[in-house]
Amino acid sequence: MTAWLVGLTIGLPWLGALIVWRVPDHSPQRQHGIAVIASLLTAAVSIGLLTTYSTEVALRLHIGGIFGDFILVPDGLGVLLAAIAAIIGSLTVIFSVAYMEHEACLSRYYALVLIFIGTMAGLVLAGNLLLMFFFWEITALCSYALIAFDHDNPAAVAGGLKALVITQLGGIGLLIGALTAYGRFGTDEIAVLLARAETLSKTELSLIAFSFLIAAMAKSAQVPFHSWLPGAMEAPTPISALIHAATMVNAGVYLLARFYPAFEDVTGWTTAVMTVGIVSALLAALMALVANDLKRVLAYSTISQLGYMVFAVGAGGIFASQFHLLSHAMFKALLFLGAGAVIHSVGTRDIRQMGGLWRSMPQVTIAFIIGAMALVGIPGTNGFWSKELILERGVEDSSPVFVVGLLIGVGLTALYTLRLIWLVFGGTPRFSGQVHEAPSAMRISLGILAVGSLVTWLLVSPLSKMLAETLPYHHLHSETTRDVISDVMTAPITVLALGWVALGFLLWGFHHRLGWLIARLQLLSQIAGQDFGFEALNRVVMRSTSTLAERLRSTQTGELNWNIWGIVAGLVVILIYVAVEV
Amino acid sequence: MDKLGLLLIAAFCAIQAIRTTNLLLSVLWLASVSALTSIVLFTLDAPQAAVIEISVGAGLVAVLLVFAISIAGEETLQDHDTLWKKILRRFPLITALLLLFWIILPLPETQPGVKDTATFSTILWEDRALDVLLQIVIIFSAVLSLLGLLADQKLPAAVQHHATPRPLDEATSLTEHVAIVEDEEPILEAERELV
Amino acid sequence: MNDEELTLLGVVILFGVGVYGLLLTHHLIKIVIALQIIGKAVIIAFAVAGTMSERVQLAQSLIVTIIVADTMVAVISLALVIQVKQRLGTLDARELSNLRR
Repeated sequence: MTAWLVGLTIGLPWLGALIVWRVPDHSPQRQHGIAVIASLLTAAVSIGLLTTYSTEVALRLHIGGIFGDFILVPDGLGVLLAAIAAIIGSLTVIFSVAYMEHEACLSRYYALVLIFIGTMAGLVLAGNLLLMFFFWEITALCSYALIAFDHDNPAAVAGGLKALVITQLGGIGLLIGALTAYGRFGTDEIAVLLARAETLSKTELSLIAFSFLIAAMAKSAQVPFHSWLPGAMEAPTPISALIHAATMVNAGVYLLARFYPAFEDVTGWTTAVMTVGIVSALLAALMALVANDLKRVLAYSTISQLGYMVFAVGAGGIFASQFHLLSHAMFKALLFLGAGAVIHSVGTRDIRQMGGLWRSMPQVTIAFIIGAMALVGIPGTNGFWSKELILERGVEDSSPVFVVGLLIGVGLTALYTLRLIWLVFGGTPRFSGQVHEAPSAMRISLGILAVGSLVTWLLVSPLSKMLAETLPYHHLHSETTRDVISDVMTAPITVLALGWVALGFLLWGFHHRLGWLIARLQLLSQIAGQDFGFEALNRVVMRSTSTLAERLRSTQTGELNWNIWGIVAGLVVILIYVAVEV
Repeated sequence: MDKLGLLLIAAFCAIQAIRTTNLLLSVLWLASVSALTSIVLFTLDAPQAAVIEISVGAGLVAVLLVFAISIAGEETLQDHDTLWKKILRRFPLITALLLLFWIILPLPETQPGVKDTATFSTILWEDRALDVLLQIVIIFSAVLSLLGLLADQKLPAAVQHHATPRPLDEATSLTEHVAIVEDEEPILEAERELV
Repeated sequence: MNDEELTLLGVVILFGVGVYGLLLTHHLIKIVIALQIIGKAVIIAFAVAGTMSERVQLAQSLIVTIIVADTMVAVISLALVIQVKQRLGTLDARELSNLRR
């Protein structure tokens, strides 16, 4: 039964992708229909999977050779993320029916989205490091192909390539770690690595730990590898919601959370993880404050929230990080889809040319504001509970410097969110032309996500029970919703955080009178607008990668003689090795 | 000792087959390599293999090569390598061969395993039935792809464009068409002769 | 050195000549010829192995398989060579790899 559910969660979207790929372009209704059906079926199966979690191997594919079996394990962490991918995936596909209505090449679009959904489920359910690496790279490939979906737009192609190169370079880290573990244990099963981590020598373990950290930083767009995410905003907006907010970018956090028990004793690892998280959270929030592109603001805010999750993992708050991951997936998908509805009807992404939209699109405005409240952490939304849990964890397990950083981040989040809402929906319109309310397919997705952003925190007890039961190495103990409520309500940090939120709001409210302060901070905002120079760093990485590739291309002459020469030279090396061994 | 002598002669023939610029001569040298190989197989107590080798290697393959050369034309090519390039090209090969000798000689004493009591045909048709099946499949697919490759002698228009990447205005495309037709004529003749 | 070792010596030399051909030639038909030479060296190596382990009959049946596969390789590559000559007008492997640049 579980084997079927696991197989179907990965296989159904892939099958749907194959079918939709074959549908000709002149029947877009069939393309939309097949994609919606496949993604809804996947979502249904993934909900079934949520009820049958276990630590047992559900599916074992015999591969043979030196790699042994490929296994899929539906434990709590895996099924949670698979369900997020499938459910938010189906909502974005429904949204796309309206958003992508008159676009060409819908087969390609839907096929890639469906492949992505299946692969993401595979990535989190995989029980082997190499299988995981395999899925990891396919998600990067889908992300690249979807960012560059509009391949006539050079910015889209450049953004796609940047995302591909940087996440692939990070992927090398995962590969190094996986091969090191395989070389030591003779198997690449994740459970073995978790169980026998302390038998590794210190150097090996820290090599694996820091390689995984680099892979996670590249995938989850953490400073200094973050600048591919704003570039990825050239993708169609539903893609930004699904891949670049709700699922793929969480893979890094997932990786860290999955292997936390193995690495927690590595010297400096937890501190490094926490530092990366805090720095990303703060810098990205500053950049969100000065960005003028609606989607870029949301992208920076994603980096910032991912920073919170990474911090939580570093502080040992596995449950807090996964809870925030769930909340964030909901409200950030909501925000992106709301932004998509706005962009769809206004026709620009520049928030300086929006304004006054609440009159013409009230329903989208309400949904967007619910998402924004969750992002800021207003009590009653899911973002409030998960963020407070992270803060609480920070108070318990890290130094005061980190806590102050977290609080400043909370204030900045409130500030840039209020600025965004005011510029987009408030004030008077700064554009010409008619704006219409979003089509019904968009409103369905937005409505479901808005309700989700308000209620998913009620799932704390089952979620916590699920994680505690199926992650034996993480030593989690399950908490009920009531426990969490009383914890959060009585913690002093909650009041402090709300105070910072209020401060953020106040700053925006009086920003006209604070001209002197803004003038003082001119330099800072200029630097933040320049991406703190990390953009240049990433450009250097990109350029050196492409130069290296260009150089290496000359070794591929396609001439038989030189290929044979290479084979013979390789033979010489092997023979020398054999001769020395003998 | 006699086998080594035969093999050295075979190697000499092989060098000639590779070095000669005349393609038909090179086919003849290859056929003699095949003949010598089959003699060595005889002396190694493998008569059936030897017969197949001489009929297929010296017969069929040689005929096929002559056929291909008559269609494709005897185009000879010259090497223009500089001296250091020549040395560089040969160096790893010679090293590899010397190392191979050094590693495999002297051979380790082998314990004779299960002796073959069955005859060649029982082994081929019963023990190695899968191999025979595989050979049939290979031959079948080779024949199919051969038919596919040789069936379409006329060049479709699309291929002409691929073969001539220059921009096509009407004049050039016409002249090229003529050139291609001229090119095809002798080939068809050669084919007719063979048939 | 005993008989088998001497034979193997010859086999390696013949094999080396075949590889030498692949290393030097860029004539498509010559490449086929060089592959044939390598195939013959391998066949004899199998026969030697057969006599050494006293399983000549098994070796023979394997040799037959090798001959068949090798011949099919030659057949297909010659058909390809003919197509290349007719469509691209050359038999030079180097010129072929220059075509796409």
